[in-house]
Amino acid sequence: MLDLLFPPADAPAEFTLVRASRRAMATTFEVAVPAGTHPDPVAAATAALDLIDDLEDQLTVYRDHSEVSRLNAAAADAPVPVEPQLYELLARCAGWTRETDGAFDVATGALIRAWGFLRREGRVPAAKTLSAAMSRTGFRHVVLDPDGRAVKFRVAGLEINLGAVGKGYALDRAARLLRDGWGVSSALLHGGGSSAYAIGRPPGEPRGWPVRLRHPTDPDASLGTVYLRDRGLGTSAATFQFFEYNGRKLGHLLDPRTGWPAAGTASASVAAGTAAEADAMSTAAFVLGPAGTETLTRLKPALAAVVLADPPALTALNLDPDSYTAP
Amino acid sequence: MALDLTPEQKATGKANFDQAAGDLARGGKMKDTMAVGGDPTRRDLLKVGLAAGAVVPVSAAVYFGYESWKGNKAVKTAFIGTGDEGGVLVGEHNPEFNEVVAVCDIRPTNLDRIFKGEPNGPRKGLDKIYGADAEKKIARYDSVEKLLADKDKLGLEAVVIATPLNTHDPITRLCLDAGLHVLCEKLMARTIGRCKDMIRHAQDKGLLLSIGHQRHYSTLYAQAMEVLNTGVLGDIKHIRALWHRNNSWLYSASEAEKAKYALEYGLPYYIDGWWKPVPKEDAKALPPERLKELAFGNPAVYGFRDVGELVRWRISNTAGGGLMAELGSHQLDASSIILGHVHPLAVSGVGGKFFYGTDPDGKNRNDRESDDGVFVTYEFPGPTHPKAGKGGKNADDVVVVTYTSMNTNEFESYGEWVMGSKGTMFLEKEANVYLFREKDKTKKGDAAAGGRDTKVTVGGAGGGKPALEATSTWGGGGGAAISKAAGSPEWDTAVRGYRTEMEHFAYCVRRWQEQGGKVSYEKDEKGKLKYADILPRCHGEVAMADAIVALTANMAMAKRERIVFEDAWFDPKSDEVPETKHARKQA
Repeated sequence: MLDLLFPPADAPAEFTLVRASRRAMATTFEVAVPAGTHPDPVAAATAALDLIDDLEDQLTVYRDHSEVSRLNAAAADAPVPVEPQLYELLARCAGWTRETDGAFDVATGALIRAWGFLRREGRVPAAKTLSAAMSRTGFRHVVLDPDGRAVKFRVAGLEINLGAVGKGYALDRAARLLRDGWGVSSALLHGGGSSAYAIGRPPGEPRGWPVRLRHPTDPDASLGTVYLRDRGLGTSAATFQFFEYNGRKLGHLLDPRTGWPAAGTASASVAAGTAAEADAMSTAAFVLGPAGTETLTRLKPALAAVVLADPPALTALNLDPDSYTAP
Repeated sequence: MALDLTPEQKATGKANFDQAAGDLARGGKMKDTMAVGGDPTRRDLLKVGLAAGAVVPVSAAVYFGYESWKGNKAVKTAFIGTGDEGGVLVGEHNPEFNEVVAVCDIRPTNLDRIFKGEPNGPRKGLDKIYGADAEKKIARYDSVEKLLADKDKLGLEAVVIATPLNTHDPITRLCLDAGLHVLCEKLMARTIGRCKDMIRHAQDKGLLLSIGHQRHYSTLYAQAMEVLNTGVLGDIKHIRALWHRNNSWLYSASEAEKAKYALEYGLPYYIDGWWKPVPKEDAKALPPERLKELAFGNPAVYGFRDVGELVRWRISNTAGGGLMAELGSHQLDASSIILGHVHPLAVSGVGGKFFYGTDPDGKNRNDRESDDGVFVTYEFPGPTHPKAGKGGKNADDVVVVTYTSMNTNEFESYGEWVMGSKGTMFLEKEANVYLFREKDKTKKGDAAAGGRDTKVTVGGAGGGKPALEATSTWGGGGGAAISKAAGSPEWDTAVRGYRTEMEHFAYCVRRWQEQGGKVSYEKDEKGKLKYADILPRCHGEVAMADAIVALTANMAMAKRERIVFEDAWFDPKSDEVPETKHARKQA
């Protein structure tokens, strides 16, 4: 649920934001540029949104012609060379999987499919189906060839699904285009509110772009406000899709290590140097829970995190008062 | 594509139109309807609603050229016909331009209603506009003759006529003969021959004749036209216009209603604004012999069989023109404007009384003479067609305009879809314009992604408020609250054009009085009106074209044939009219 909070129209505002938005990746992407900071914010934003469209066409598993769909179809048979920046993204994903002990993993397409989340019809798979899917899950079955920039799957039926990082990656690319191609020095970009990237800071706010973290279940409550400056933010929560099974509430975020929906976390937001990393790490933080996330942020001090456990307990990690105000 | 868009699609379409209009205005290409405000050199003014280069629509008075009105005295006006449409016109009139000095209607209940008004909607009533003592200031008449006999006493200068269709021409003639300027509701007249008489009579008398096709005074349509004229839609090959209503829900009369209505004229079977019950008071005041006296000397043409036909004149073949006249004429008028003020080439269609009727046991289910469903196809000349008047020679360049109107389904409501090779413009209910881009098949991803529906908005931020709320969005993103962007056009209440149409009419009256002498409809060598800026935009010749388009469709449907439009029909000097060749006997 995209919910941009601007002051009501009659309240005084400190600057004017030009906002351009478009549907992509099953959500709404938006680019907001303060008026007066760039000669043609609409043209710049349109170019950024065009790039996001192109990236969706490359990364989605919902279109058979996408590069990732073609990779999934062929990489079990032979190494498949991929576009250099996609290769680089996959290599970074491999690193993030190692750093999170497998809590983040993009080689989980088979598992997502078994749970019905690919078509958004969640169901508990039969034991046999689940174990078959687990045998086709995990980046350890993916071989990356840096010289040929090629990808090979060691097991048939393995599927890459970039759902957990695609939005952040697209935002990083769009931000680079805005900064280097269009000279944009201040902008906030986001995809559906769950992935965001801030270029510079807005006028009159040295701390950065203020982003309120929404409480996953109480629309009136907040988990605080983070201030982003040349950083990305990812948020993972099982708010909008879950189903009940034997008295358990099962969300759509799967723990690749167990094959079951992750439990114990209501919401996890992570800030990182790029939106892709923030996306990946928020997914891992959701799977790992507050304690595991604390270990992760000690390992990677550049990360900052706000995790709400289930049952509720709020933990803020690596956040100083200048970059976070508690609710 | 259905007319029912999701709120998100509407927001996108609306933002696209606002942006297109704004871009044109900022580029200095839309001087007529939009003004650029906000001085970009004064950054301290960059507050909400005043972004640099913010675009605001100009007022109707500026656009239609009568902003100099101030200081003029309101034109003393009588409203003749104070029923449903008269109620809207009275409710929308601006007393600074038209002072209502008298009202006239042969139905006593309409005279009561015009003072009292309705609690909701546009029919505000005279009491609300002129105060509770309106009845003392505004004279009431039960016949046109009596009203006109008092014209000097009233100081009358103009009339607004909103009576049944078959009485438009005799009442217009009487008022012109009395030296009054006339604004008459549409459709202009029941036949084209009678339209031509009205035009010629206004010219002879040197008086204004304006016909109430209000879209000619809609700033919304004016802005839509400016955007369309940039070619933003590419090749327009189809316009789909429709006005669907559902009048199929059963009517049930309370005891109080049964006591109020004259049951000998029947009670409605379905709830239907065109098949209303007859109030006892009207039935008592208007027995058939009285209606005969009121029929301007020709009861067969200008009269009503009985008060039932008077009340339900829209579904009578002699008194009204059915769905094409009442609804279709507006939208085909709009289509002609969109296609560059051209006349159609041909019309064919299917229409009939498909739903209402009388059961074998005699039960009347809102029976009528007019069609209850019309499905019409027009062929219009495209820009390179010889008949487009632009020197083109391509007879294949035809734009197909379909128009449908029915009484048993209103899922799609009403509006006009203009479909071009580059995009679609949707004019919804005379109130909103949406613009959608076609998917670009030369661009990767565009077609599969469902079009690049970029939405652009401008709003305030800062002040310590968060710029974004972070949340998980599995499949989300929809349902975004879209606030009206500051700096996007705000449509004034006059958007539908009624108020503007009457204001401009009053302005024209004063200008001709200043100028002295008779109103002139003289044309220059190019065929343009010499005094176009002080003549109503929908003058007789324009309105007659709308009548030809609507009534010829009725003839084509009645005879199930394709009728080719003839140039002479549109020429007021020529005696050629479509009905000579194509009408059934009763039309």
